[in-house]
Amino acid sequence: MTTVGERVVAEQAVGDRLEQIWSESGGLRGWFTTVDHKKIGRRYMVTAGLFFVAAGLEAMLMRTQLAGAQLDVVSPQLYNQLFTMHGTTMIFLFSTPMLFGFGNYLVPLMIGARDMAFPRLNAFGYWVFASAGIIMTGSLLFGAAPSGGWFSYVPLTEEQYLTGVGMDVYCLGLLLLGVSTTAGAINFLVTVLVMRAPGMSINRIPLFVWGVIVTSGMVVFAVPALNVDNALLFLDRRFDFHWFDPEQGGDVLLWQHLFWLFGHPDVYIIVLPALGIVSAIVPTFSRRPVVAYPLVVLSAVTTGVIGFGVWVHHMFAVGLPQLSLSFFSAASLIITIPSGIQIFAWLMTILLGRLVVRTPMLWVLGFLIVFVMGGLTGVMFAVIPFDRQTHDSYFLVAHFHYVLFGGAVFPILAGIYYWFGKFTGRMLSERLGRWSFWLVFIGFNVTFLPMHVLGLLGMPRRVYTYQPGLGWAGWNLLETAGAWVLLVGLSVTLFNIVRARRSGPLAPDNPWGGETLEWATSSPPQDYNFPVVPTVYSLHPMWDERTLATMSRDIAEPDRVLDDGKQALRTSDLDGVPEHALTLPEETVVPLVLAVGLLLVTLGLLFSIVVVTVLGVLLTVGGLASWHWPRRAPAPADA
Amino acid sequence: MTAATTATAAAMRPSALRREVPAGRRAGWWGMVLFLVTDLALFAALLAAYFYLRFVTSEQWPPGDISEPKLLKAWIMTGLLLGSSVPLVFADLGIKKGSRARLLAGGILTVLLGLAFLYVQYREFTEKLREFSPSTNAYGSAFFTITGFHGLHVIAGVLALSFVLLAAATGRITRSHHALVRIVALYWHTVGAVWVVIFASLYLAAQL
Amino acid sequence: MDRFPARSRAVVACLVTAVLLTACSGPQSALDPAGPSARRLSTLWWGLFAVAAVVFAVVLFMIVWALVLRRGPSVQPRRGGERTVVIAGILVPAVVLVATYAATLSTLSAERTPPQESELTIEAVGHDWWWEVRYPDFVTANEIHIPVGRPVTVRLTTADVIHSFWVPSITSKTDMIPGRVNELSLLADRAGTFRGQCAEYCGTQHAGMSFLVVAEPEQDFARWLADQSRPADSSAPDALAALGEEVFEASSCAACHTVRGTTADGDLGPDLTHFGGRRELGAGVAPNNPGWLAGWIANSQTVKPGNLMPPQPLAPEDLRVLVRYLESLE
Repeated sequence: MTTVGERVVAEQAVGDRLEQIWSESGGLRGWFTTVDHKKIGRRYMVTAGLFFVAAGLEAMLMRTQLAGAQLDVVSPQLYNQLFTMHGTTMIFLFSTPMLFGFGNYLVPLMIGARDMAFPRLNAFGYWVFASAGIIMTGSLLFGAAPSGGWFSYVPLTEEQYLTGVGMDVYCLGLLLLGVSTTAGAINFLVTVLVMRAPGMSINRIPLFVWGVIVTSGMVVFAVPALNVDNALLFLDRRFDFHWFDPEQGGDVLLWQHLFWLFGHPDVYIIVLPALGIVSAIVPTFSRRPVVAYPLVVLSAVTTGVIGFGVWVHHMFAVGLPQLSLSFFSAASLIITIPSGIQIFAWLMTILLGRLVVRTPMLWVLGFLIVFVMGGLTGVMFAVIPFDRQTHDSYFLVAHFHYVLFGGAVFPILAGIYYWFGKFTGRMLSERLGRWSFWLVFIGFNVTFLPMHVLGLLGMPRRVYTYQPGLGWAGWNLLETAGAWVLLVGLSVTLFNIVRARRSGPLAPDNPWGGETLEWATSSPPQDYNFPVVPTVYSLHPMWDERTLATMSRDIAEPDRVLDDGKQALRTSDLDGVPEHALTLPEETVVPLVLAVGLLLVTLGLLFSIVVVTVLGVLLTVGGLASWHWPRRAPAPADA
Repeated sequence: MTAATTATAAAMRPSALRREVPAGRRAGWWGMVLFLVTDLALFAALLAAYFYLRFVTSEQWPPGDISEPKLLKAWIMTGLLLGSSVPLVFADLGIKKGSRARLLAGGILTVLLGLAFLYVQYREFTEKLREFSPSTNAYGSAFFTITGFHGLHVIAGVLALSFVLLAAATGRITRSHHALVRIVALYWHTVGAVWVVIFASLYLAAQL
Repeated sequence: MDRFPARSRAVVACLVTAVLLTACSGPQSALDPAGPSARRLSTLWWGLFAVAAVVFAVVLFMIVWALVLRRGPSVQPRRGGERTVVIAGILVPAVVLVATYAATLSTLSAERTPPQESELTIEAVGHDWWWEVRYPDFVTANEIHIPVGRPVTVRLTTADVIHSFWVPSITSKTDMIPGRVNELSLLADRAGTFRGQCAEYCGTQHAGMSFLVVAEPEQDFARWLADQSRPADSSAPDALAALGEEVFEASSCAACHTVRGTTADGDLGPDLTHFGGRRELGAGVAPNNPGWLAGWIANSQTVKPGNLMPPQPLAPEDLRVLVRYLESLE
């Protein structure tokens, strides 16, 4: 059954009333004022997708430059900007925002809610992300992009070695982005805490939502370290502070500690929601629930905790005391266990179920192969002596592409093929999807597998060229060829998306027979998501007649229909027992105004224009005030 | 049908009787808690950076010709900021009982104490700047970054409290609608608590 | 069904052999070790590789099993599986990881205890973008000589940003950090020329920052030490070179470079006292011969864009004698 009958019944009963309450203005005005989690989620995904294209093209330029020894396609100065922006964009402007986009769209649907807990904060987060991304990517067009590498080690990135505005773009851009990421994370946490459908106790939360929860929890603790690092560097650069200046009592390793205290958790911040996508897809195409759900949840949570205890393995070559090295080596080995649990949980699910290989599952199988390889080389980097031999070589470049392309891009592509029908109401072509998969899978491995060899042959990362006679040129040429295949493969998916948007077959409610609540809505969902808030009786609401039945059963229950204003249901934190109705805010332009305020502050600091900074501060403070100004009616509202 | 009757209807359902947990906090309260957690992590990172520099510095602390921080003003600041939380609790409890006068009186006193804190901090900064500045050395950078960042929090708190008082004065905060007071008070108390840690780290511990 | 795995095994075996043969050699290869440290690390790598290959094979096998046997309408999904997840996901990895940790610690302690005391300590200083090498009696650049079979301690510092000292065929890398001194030990057990390269991104010409480690028999090394300790020959071998020396001292060369025994005592660029004996130019970006050298002096920015040596607008005749002079400094 691909149309959910109960949903249709409920919609006929109460759909019109709800639509009146929930519809937003369209057109240009609606563009600037929307607070709908689905529109914002889609926006996140499209914008992050554009950054992926930009970073991908940067990579193609680099691969072309490296195709042979001593080529002169780009200058070293440009090459250094390219790899800095490639890394920064992929990590900060693509992976996390793309997965936040999935989260924005899917979390409320999966937990049976009508929106996020803070819809305006959600819109604000998007605008801030977009402005940070535009500042950072835009800088490349003016040749003023940062060129200190994505982790920007001091003192190279201090004013005296990297003059110009590029590094300031990095510091301020990431600070701005940090605001967006933190806002998004807090929103996810509160949403899941208070907005779950009745009956969704914590042991019935879908695994994708768990991934988003753990990631958000990590963001709350990890991003401050990055923010502090960047703020201190900016103070050093612009105001002659000496945080990182060893001549004046500062210390250069302080940067590295703070950076990796954020940076390593960030790997899991990126990967955990992506693994959540995998956990959502595997049961659907294995026709059985995931094996060992509690273990998978526990391993995600454990990863989130241990992830904060491994940062020094990025610093094994800096000359730290032996004892601390041994500790961080042990922690880095231990953290592979939770990932192993998840891998074997999926494998056992596949092995015990009935495997149906449609495109989303194809990407997941590709993910399993690639990600396991990345994990295995990851274990090697916990082995300190081996790490010190291959650290900062192409072996490392190979490793983290297997982890991040494997652990994030493959699941994201799987997610796009899986949920495209839900997002847009149209289905992607399976045939093009298979072509795209094989081209990407082969292209990826031809590009990155030889990098292991190059690393062992002594090729350091971040070199814009290399000497002939080192045995590197052949491998590099092969990689460049692979990169072009990869590009073609990804373009096929892009074409597939554009084509399906126009003329793809209409998507049914539940095209794949998925188990979670997003499939109970229409494709695409109505503005109010659920005409009647379902009551959840199991971990697999869609495979469980009882849960679905509540949607048509409760059409006369006011606290399930919630049509007295723009309402959602507040349920208890752990057990999901209904408490009272919440009123959610209407569409508004205030989040955009606030984001513009922050953008002005950033630009003012960047170009040292005091007036602009002050204007930005005033706009921000004013925006905050109008946002929080209490409504006179004593409704149970939220700040 | 109004929200009130919806709530009543919900309260009369059998499922409401089976409820075992007390009613949860507001979403906005949780949002503020999480914001404060991430903000505390920020201060933790700053203080960790400070102590890191202190431990890798082999000479005496504070380094260079900078003398040990004098405590008098800092004690006064600590007293002012911790003291300012008391009238705020009074105000918060007042509006819970529906007393707008208590809210306004307590809130105004808190704002005044907050402003007094900022004034003493300004005096402290001018005095320190005669001895050293953020550009003198890493200690100077750390001292002014951390205390300055905290000062910004106090400024934000004073603004937020004034905003709440304005809303209260225009009758927008009532007995049944005062979550904003709760949430802003939570922020203010936390900023006070952070100051105690900063005082202990930058002033008291520097004496050791 | 039987033939297929056999054939793919053969293909894999061929590929592995091919990779082993072509991949391991090279002057900068970690798998072509020239000393006990690199040899230990190379062995460690093959051990880790073997373990990883087994784990990978298990995963691949499970996927293929599912693809072949768990598809189609006749397959019935089964319950359970938790126990396997606990065994394969927790118990087995725990054992493997404990073994890996043991290997880590034992290699680590072997790395730290050199087989013999080092009798020679030198200092390597990272610069944007070249290597200053300080022996007890003299200073040179971009070329380190060590005696075969005797460990040399290298103290690692930097004059500007972070660099990382890496000679993969001899030992693993150690960073050069401002405000700190790190140490590593170089021990080669066979003669040869090995290439090292900066492994921490350090700015525009990070790619153009390599060096050579020449491991040579004891007598050759002693002779090299003696040669390098002498100042440059005051009596230039021929008239052209003598003219070149005048150009060197009179032009801006002397502001940045030192040639011991002359008035040139700049300290921004590499010491050139025995420049003629070095094999490479500009920290490994070109061979050291008169053609490249002339080009380098005239405008090194074309050879190594962004490096800190400005172009030298010399008259052609001056350039010719200067090259002659520099090549004579052996």
